[in-house]
Order: sequence, then C-alpha cells, then structure tokens
Amino acid sequence: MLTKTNRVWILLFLAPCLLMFVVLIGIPLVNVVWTSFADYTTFSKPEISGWGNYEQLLFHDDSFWDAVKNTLLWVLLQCTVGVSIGCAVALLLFRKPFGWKFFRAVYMIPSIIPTVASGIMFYLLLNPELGIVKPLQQFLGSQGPTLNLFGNSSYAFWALTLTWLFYSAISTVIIMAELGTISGSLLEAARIDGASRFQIDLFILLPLLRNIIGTCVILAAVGMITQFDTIYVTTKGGPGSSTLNLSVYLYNTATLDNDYGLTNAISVMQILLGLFLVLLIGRAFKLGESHE
Amino acid sequence: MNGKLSSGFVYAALICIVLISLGPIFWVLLGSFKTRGEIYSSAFALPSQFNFSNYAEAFRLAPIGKFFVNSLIVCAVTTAVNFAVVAPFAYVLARYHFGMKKLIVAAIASVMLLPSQSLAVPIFTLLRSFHLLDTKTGLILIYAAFGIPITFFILRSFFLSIPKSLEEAASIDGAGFAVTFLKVILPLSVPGMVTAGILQFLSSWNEFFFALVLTSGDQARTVPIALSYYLGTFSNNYPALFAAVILTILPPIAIFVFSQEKVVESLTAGAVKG
Amino acid sequence: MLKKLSKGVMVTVAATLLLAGCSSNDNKNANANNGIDGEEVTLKVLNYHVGEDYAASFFKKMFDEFPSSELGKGVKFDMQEIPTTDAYAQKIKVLFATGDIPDIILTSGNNILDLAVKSGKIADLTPYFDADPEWKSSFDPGALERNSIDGKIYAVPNQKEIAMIYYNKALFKKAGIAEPETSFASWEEFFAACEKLKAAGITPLSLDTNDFAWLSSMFLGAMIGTANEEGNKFMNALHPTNFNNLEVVDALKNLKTMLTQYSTQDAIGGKYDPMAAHFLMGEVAMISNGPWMVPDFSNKEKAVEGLSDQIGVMLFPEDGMVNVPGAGDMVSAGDKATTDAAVNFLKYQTSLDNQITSLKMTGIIPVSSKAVVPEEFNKENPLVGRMLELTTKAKYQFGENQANWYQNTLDTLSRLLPELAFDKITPEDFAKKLEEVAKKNE
Repeated sequence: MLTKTNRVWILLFLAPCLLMFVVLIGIPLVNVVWTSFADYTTFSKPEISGWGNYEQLLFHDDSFWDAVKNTLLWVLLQCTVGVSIGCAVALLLFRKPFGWKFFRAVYMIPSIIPTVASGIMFYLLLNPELGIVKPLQQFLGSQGPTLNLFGNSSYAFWALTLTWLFYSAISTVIIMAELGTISGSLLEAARIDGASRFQIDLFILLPLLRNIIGTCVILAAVGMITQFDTIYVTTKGGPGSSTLNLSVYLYNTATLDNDYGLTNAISVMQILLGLFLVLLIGRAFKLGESHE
Repeated sequence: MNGKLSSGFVYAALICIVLISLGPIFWVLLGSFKTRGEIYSSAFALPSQFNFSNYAEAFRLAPIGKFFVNSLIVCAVTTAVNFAVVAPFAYVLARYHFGMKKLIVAAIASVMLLPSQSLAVPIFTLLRSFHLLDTKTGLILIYAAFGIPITFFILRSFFLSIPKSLEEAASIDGAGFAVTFLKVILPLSVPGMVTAGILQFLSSWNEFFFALVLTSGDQARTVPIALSYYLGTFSNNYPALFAAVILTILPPIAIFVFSQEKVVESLTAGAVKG
Repeated sequence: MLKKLSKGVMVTVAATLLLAGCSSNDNKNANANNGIDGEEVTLKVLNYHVGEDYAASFFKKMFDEFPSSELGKGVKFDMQEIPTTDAYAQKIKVLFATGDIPDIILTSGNNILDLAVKSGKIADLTPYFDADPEWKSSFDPGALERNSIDGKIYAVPNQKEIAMIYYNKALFKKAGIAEPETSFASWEEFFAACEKLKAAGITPLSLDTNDFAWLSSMFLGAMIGTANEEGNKFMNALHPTNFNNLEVVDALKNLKTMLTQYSTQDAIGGKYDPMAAHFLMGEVAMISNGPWMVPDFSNKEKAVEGLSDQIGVMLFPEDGMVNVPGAGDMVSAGDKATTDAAVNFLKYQTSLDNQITSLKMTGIIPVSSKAVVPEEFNKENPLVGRMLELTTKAKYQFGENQANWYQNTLDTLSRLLPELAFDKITPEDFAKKLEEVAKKNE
C-alpha cells in the first residue's frame, strides 16, 4: 500500500500534528528538561548546576517519596476499581434498559461540575460537625467522637479516594462508543447458542473491548498522576503528607518554595514515571495492535 | 428464568448511579439558594427560602456573561482544531509501521503528563514571541496541543478496530488515500470522534491555570476565571459561586446529550465489527 | 473640616476637591508631571481586589479617581484583574520569571520583598522619599524600615496589620465569665475561661488548620509573642528559621490543647470560612482576627441576627496584640516616566485622607499614626474604635506569622497541625520540622 502518492499523503497527514507538537510542546518541554539541571528560582535566571536537583529529590526528600507512593496507590486504585466501575456501567447501559440514555447523561454530570464547587461539597459533606458522618455514626449506634475524615491522616487518603473513585463516566462514555460499533448479529448468535447476558458480557464483549479498555486505563492512570484540583480544594496534601501526590508537591515547590529548578526536576520524574506506566499498560493490553 | 432477578439487579445499580450522580448537582443547586450562613449550618438543610438574589449577585460580582461567551468560542474552536490536526495523524499511526513510531507515541503520551506549573513560564514566553498573549487564538492553540494525546489514543483505538478489508475494497474501487480516509474511515469512526470531542471540550471548559497565566483581559478569559471572582481572601461567596456554576454548566451538559444522540444515529448506519 | 462630614457622596466629592487642592501644593517638590510634555503614561497594574475581595470597592475608587487628580494627570491604567490572592501569587511569580512584571506590584500578604529585590526588577524608591520629605514623614520610621533592604526603601506600606480576640458577650455571660478590662491577665486565666465555657456546654474557640491555619496561627503567634522577650523578638522577625526553641514548642503544646479540648471537632482540617461561620452563628465564644472581620458581624448573609451587639474585643492574654506595619506595594524598575507615575499613584493611595477612606471602606488600619481617625468614625464603628483604643494599651506587640514566615513553613505548619492534634507528632519534632523546612529557603 505504500505507493509514492501514499507517501506524500502520509507526510501531509502527519505534518500538522507534528508541527503543533514540536512548536507548542516540544520547545517548552526542552526548556523544562534543561532547567531541571539548573539552579533556577522564580526570581533568578537559570544557571546549570548538574544533577543537584535530582540528588536532592531522590536522596534528601521524604516528601517526594511520600508523593510518589500516594500517586502510585491512587493510580492502581483508579486503573482497577475505577475503570472496572466505568466498564460495568457501560455494559449495563449497553443492555439498553428503559431510560438508558437518561442514565448515561446523568452519570456524566459529576464529571462536568467544576471542581471548585464539587470539592467544597465533599469537604462539607465529610465535615465532622456539619456533614454526613455524624448522623451516620449515630445511626450505626457508635459512641465517641465523630470521625474526622479529612482532618485525620489515617483516613484522609481514603476520603479523597471516595470523592473520585465512583465517577468513571469518562471510561463509560469511551467504552460505550466502542460497544456501539459491535455487530448485533454477533450478540444474536450468542443468545441463540444459549449464552446468558452475563456470559455475553464476559466472554464476547470484554475481549472485543481490549484496546479501548487499555486506552481507558491509560487515561485513568494519567488522570491520577495529574490529579490536582480536588486535593487542592479539600486537603492541600495534608494532614502530614497523607494526601500529597506528585502534582500537589510540584505545585508547592513552584509556588511556595519558588524553586523552578527543583519543580522541573519533579516534572521530569513525573513524566518518566508516567511514561513507564503508559508503556506497561500498553504491553499488558497489547495496545496498538489490531484485533485481527 | 433469572431474567427478573437480573433486571432487578440492573435497576438497583442504575438507581445507585442516579443517586451518586445527581447528588452533587442537586446539592449545588440547593446551595445556590442558601445564604452564606446556611451553607455552613448544615450540609443538608434546605434553604429557608428560594430567592434568586445569589444569581443576581453572581452577575454583579463577575463578568460571567462575557467570559461565558469566550468559553464557548474557545472550547468549540479548540475541539475543531484539535480534531482536524490529530485525526489524520492518528490514522497514519494506526495503519502504518515505521521506524520512529514507538518514540512518537511515547512523546505524545508524555504530553498528558506535563504539569502546567512547569510549562507556564516557557509557554508564556513562547506566546509572547508570537504576540498571542491575551488572545483566544493563543489559548486555543495551547488547549488543542495539550489535547493531542487524548484524541490520539481514542481515535487510534477506533481506527484499529476497523477491518483493513474495507480500505482494500475502497482501494480496488479506485479511491485514493485521502478519499478513503474521508469517505470510508471517518464515517465509521463517528462514535470515537464524538467521544474525543466531548473530552476535549470538557477539559478546555474547566481549564484554569493556563487561562489565568496566558490571558489578562475580558477578551480572552474563560468561565473558570470568572468562578474565582466569588472567592475572597478571607471569605468565599459560595452561594454566588454555586449560582454561577448552575448557570454555566448547562451548555456542556446539553452538548454532551446532543452529541451522544449523534453517536446513536451514526450507529444505525450499520455495525462493522465482530 | 473633613472630619465633620459624614459618609456618602459629599465625602467623596469633598475629599477629591481637597486632595486636588493639597496635592497641587505639593507639586513644587513632588513629581506630579507624568510623562513628557503632556504625553500619556500607561501604568500596567495587576489588581486582585476584585469580585468578593474585601477591599474591591476601595481600590476601584482609587483607580477610578487617580487619573483625574493632580498627581495622576496624564496617567492611564492598563488594568488586569486577577481574582483571589492565590491566583495573584501564581501569576505574579510567572511574570517575575518571564520579566513582564506590572508597573505597580500590589502587596498580597505574601512577603516577596527580598526575593523581588534580589531579582533586580523593582525600583529603589529611596530617592522619591528623599525628594518629598512631607510624604516621607507621614510614615512612621518603623513602617519604612520594614519595607527596606540594606537601607534602601523598596515598597510603600499602606496598612497596619492588627489583630486581637473578638468574644461573644452573651456566651461569656452564660458561662459566668467576667469580661476582661483589656485582656485576660495570663494564659492560665485564658485557659481557665475556656474550661468554664466548656463546662457550660459552649465551644470556646474558633480554630482551623487548613489554608495556612490562619485562625490557629493567631493564637500560636500570640502565645509565642507574649511568652518572653525572646519569643517576642521571634514573632517580630521577618523570615525566622530558628523554630526549634522553647517558646515555639510550648506554644505548640498549648495549641494542641486548644485544638483538641476547646474547639469544634471540624477545626482539625478546618478551613477559615466554615470556622469563622461557627463564631458568626453565635455557636463559639472567641475568635481572633483583624478589623476586616467587623463588617461580617452585622452581615445578615453571614451572621445571626443581633450578633453585632454581642461582640466585644480584647487583647491577647497579657495585653498582647498583632500590631505591625504591613508589607507595601512595589514599583517596577522601568523607564523614569513610568516609575514616576507609579510612585505618584502610591502617594495618592497613601495620602492621609485616603488612608482614612481606606479605613472607612475596608476596615484597614492606617499605617501612618498621623492619619487622624475622625470621631464620627469611632462612634459609627464602636468596635474598631475600641480596637484603636486598645492598641494604645498593648504591652506586647508582634507580627503575624502569615506575613513573616516563609510560605513553605506556613504550609508545613498547616499540614502538621492535624498530626499534632491526633498525637502523630510531638511538639518537639514539630518545631524541628518547621526549622528544617524554613532553612530550605536559605
């Protein structure tokens, strides 16, 4: 198929995106990478200083490792539980129960609400004086002080996880779009063979969704690595380092420490970690290969 | 036999979905009628009266209307530009093998991982040299560029699941490269296109940091900046913020519902896989 | 003459006229000619006093009226609105890094003076002060010193930061606590009062830990600042790094007691706004804050009916108070015409009359002791009047940690306070941690 005219077309197809990528992202990215090797603050020009920033991060910075640990745990949870929920909802809606379009739209709404609003909602809902925890505990007959979910470092991580784990509408929408392209005759044939709906989901649909679920897992992983807004509105990474992830840590280094060199070293580490995960997920899902 | 049981299970699950999904928006809606004192007296209490003063306040405190129009323009154009640039690119990468492909995919993936905090200074400098600071064009270009990976990954997996035999058939019929892409591939990928478009639209709609750093006047600013007007140094006007959220959330929801309808329509054209 | 006029349009008109009159007299020594031969100067300003900001209306008035004043002849503003100080801090730092700083850099509580000076991008204002002795002498020497580095003045202060304790008289009465004359004589007495309130079923204190722990910081700073001379010196120092000392450790111990025994359950992890609401709803007996909170007491949207009649104000125990000149506004080191015009604006903004206007509109305390507060004002605002009176009786005066400490240190304070409250870190280790983080800035 690679005829000469095709070659020209291929180049034409690639060029705009590559151009956009190189100019708008490549140039700033190069800047980020080289200044990660520099002494560089908000108020001074970068001066090359070698591996100092990385040494600082990797060997003298507990917060960095706390942030990496939390980030990875959140990635794991979102890629497994989160995407599974999104996928389950998609399969459920694909059965076209009465009102499925309504449910599809409704499930998307939380992903549209700006985080400044939803974040403060979660903050108040889990507030030990005003929120849902006190009445719930009373209902369950527990004595003693109300659990302070965002205020106690033993619970804060899980409290934050609850604010996003169930909202996997993005996965649902992506998977539903793919489900729509699967031929009805295939399902009909399976049904005639006596397969239950659940068996169809499990043994016919899921394998066909491999590529797109892989994509959802990648997006979920990336979403957790770059998660910032909800944490910033509710806990700012605290108490202690219990909800500190790489994005919040990076933000703090830039705006509180004014240290752009270190910030950019964290960026580079974040990109490397993310790429490693993306490649790993790609391998696991044999991503990029045709189904045939 | 167990049909009743399973449909009972399906609806139980769906009711859970409705509860956790409508809960937040309903809460925000109620909050938009409360006084500031009421917001903090209980997370559940109903507002003492349904007056619209917070909505009036929302308009008084921030140039929300103007920013809203900007947001619509920026997000719509961003989505279009992003798609026009990425779709052909994703198609070639889904269909052809060449040496640097893995590297290119990795580079694309890395875009998603770039923290805006790190990029603020270099991107500001870049747009300044193009004289694109404080313009909608500047924001659109940046959003479209940062949207490359999501659109790319979604479209690529759609293109991958289209059987090659269709293109071969088109080629035998004498259709050229571009014609095959436009007339055969794209129509079959409408669900993917729409899905990628929605995600692109939503992420630009809620983006705050670049909007803050790269714009300075009313001409280019977007809704997330307007929402900050309700937050003060010492206290926040949440009722007005919630009112503004209710006012500005309708278009993205409408666009979502409308575009999903398009997906369904496109599918009636006939399934291709399996 | 101005003193006798009440609020309203008349004041505005009169003040503008008067000012115009005053400043034309100043012209001989002040640089009132902006630009060269009638050419216009455009001043780039980033203004975060917009929307919900407490000083939005005052700054709007300043920016609107300056160009038509004598000092502001030929000046136009290229105004960029940045809602919230958080967003402002982010943007101003990007602008410093890219070299595009505005001509006037408004202070935002986050003290970047030394860093800004190091960057070489802001103007030395000493010559302007020297050229206009009248203006210079309107400031207390301490206020200028605080905005100087190595003897050079780099910023124009425009407010005095003060803070004390507000208390709810009705709740005090219910618990049988006598209202102190000026303050509780000692912290022991203060804690005894807390115990009494608690016994009466009343939560004594509004505290928080989130967002730099503003409310808790007030008490923390007060305990350090009234402990002894060492502690007082510590609380007056800009950017201290020696946290590992007895005063800090003791104060943290006491703050832990306050958080766990004498405050609402949601104080730990709490944000300012809902915690202030507890006091405004009449549920909590005491809160510490600056005078800008006073309008909230009578705000029907925020406070219970009749609260403002129940509010008393006192100094921190042992007659302590936050009382320091604030960090000032800076001017970018641009061409002379622009710098001149920017300095003229700051002169306008800090004129004695406008300091009083600022007090009236925002509750900000004038930085100049020469700015005479009209008696009407004290009558109409008895609480702020009382605060000004108490200011003269304070034995210990100290700064706010929010303005004095490095930002990353405040962030650490904010993130470790819940750990302290839940017994996950000792006060000693806490102090060490603060020291470690503060030293990262050096």
